Amino acid sequence: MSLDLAFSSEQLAVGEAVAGFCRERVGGAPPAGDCPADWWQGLAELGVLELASPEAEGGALEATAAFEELGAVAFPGPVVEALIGGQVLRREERAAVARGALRVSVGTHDLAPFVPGCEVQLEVSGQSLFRAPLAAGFESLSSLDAEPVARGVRTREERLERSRAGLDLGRLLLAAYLVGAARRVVALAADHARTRTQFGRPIGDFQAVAHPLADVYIGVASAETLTHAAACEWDERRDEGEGPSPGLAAAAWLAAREAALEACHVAHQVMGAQGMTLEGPLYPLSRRIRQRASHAIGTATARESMVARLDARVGESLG
Amino acid sequence: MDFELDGEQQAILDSVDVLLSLRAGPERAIALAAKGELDHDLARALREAGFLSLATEVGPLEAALLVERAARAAAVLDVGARALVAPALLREVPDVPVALVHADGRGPVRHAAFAGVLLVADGAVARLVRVEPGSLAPVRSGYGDPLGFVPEALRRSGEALGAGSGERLLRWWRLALALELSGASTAALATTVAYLKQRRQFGRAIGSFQAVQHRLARCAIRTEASRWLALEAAHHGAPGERVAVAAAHAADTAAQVFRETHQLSGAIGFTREHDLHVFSMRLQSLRLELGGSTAHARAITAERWAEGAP
Repeated sequence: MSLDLAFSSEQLAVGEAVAGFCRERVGGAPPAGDCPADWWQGLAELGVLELASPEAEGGALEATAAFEELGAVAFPGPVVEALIGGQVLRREERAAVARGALRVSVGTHDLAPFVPGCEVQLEVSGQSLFRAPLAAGFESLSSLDAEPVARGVRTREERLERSRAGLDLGRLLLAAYLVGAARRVVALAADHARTRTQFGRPIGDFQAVAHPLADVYIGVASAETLTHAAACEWDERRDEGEGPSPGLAAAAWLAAREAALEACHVAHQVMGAQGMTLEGPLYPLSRRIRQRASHAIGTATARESMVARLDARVGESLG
Repeated sequence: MDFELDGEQQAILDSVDVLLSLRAGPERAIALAAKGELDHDLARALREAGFLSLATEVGPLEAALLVERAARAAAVLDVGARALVAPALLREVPDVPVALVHADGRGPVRHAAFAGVLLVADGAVARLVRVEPGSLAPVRSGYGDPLGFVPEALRRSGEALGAGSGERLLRWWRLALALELSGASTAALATTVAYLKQRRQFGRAIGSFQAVQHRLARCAIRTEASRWLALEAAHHGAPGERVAVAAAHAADTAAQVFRETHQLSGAIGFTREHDLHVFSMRLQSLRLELGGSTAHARAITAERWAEGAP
């Protein structure tokens, strides 16, 4: 072990496999709405749906490499939720999730995304995850990017034991997904700025365009670094049999969320009306970034975790 | 990928920390600043322990860890220039203080009044200028580090260090700056958190108020990211885009940390009885060095989006 800040060859291989799969299946613009069944099966065959679970060989770093690629194509469906399930569900359920036969929804007290279509319905409340299925007769709503959402009354059946691990991994993977998506958004805007000419020169020459792009690029790079650091910490603690430590995954999630939203804002400014067409390439990405940024995991508990970490740190350094 | 130090790195860092806790720290920084002195004793101790040659003997990442730790301990010394930047340009690391100079700069230069070697960034090349230590005029400074005046003639003289050296100097300078900023930001934040935990208002520690915690959390996220960005850049050998991202992020973070730590500490943060100013005033000068975050951001644009960039 040593301080080594680059993906290993196995992690790169996972990333490349997922990128290849996405290129082949998703192609240009991802569809609105839920994930087509054959894509989901493809993810399961690649082994993506079991990453970081107790049975998996790959840990959070492999999962991070995979989710950055999924984010880059705005891959649809409850992918982050599947891996949360891999932390908190029972063994036989985990196996079904890994095979792609069981899908998991993670929502708030009355909203359950991807329902119907998810057999397991979890509810986030503070730092806890509950198994809390929706009663029959729920109302079907449609979200910003046409992902199905159900609204209804939940019955809490049990608080899941490894809630914290599940939520921490969820924050980490949402961060990885958003980093991948935001990198792509910045690249699209930069390409546009470089190639589109106005008044006889590329608009990217203009300080007013180049500077905000560089600014969001810094935000995305820093979120990516935090995500990698959090993934390393996760794997380290898993190897040593410890639970997740508070903070780093939360920092990654908060930073990635902010960076990705800011990237969308700037990219839409740079690309003008071209950024708003359904065919893409920008709109499908930014739509899904907004959707994921408002995930039920939320930001309040992440900030609490961050403060707890700060507190522990100061305790160490100042005795 | 692994964000944990290995045994050897941890051992180096532990002994660096012990040495710094004995020989540096805010109290010593205040005393040295009052005299406008450079910490020659600390330099000797670091050299005798072999820490100033970490870059050549172990690697740039280990030297980077030293630079960040020295900044956290408010070392009044050219650690970044001597332990990290000079080894990237010179075959032999000088035994005298090193000052980093921009040929087109007009302002005072950090540590120049004590420097025996100036490394001058002059367009495509870097030049090595040897001066008698103490020969350059000191400039009074309120920012913690002693400054000196480098005359125009000296900025244009000296021995050219070969093709590409100008760009190499700027890259490693940016990296050192990012590490120093990150170390000082971390220390400023830690000082503030410690104060807010003991200071009480309305019967509670100030630090327990949620509005305060959220502001501290935002600073903590940024300082954490700054440190990893800088260490990552060091690990990869200071490539242009990475060091520019690290420096820009660290400079923006410094501005935010300065604002928040002083807002949250109130007037006491500015007094000489409180350690915050030792770090925060440094942040103010470091965050503007090399043109500040605007110049770093421009470097990112050039590296990332110039004609023919990847």
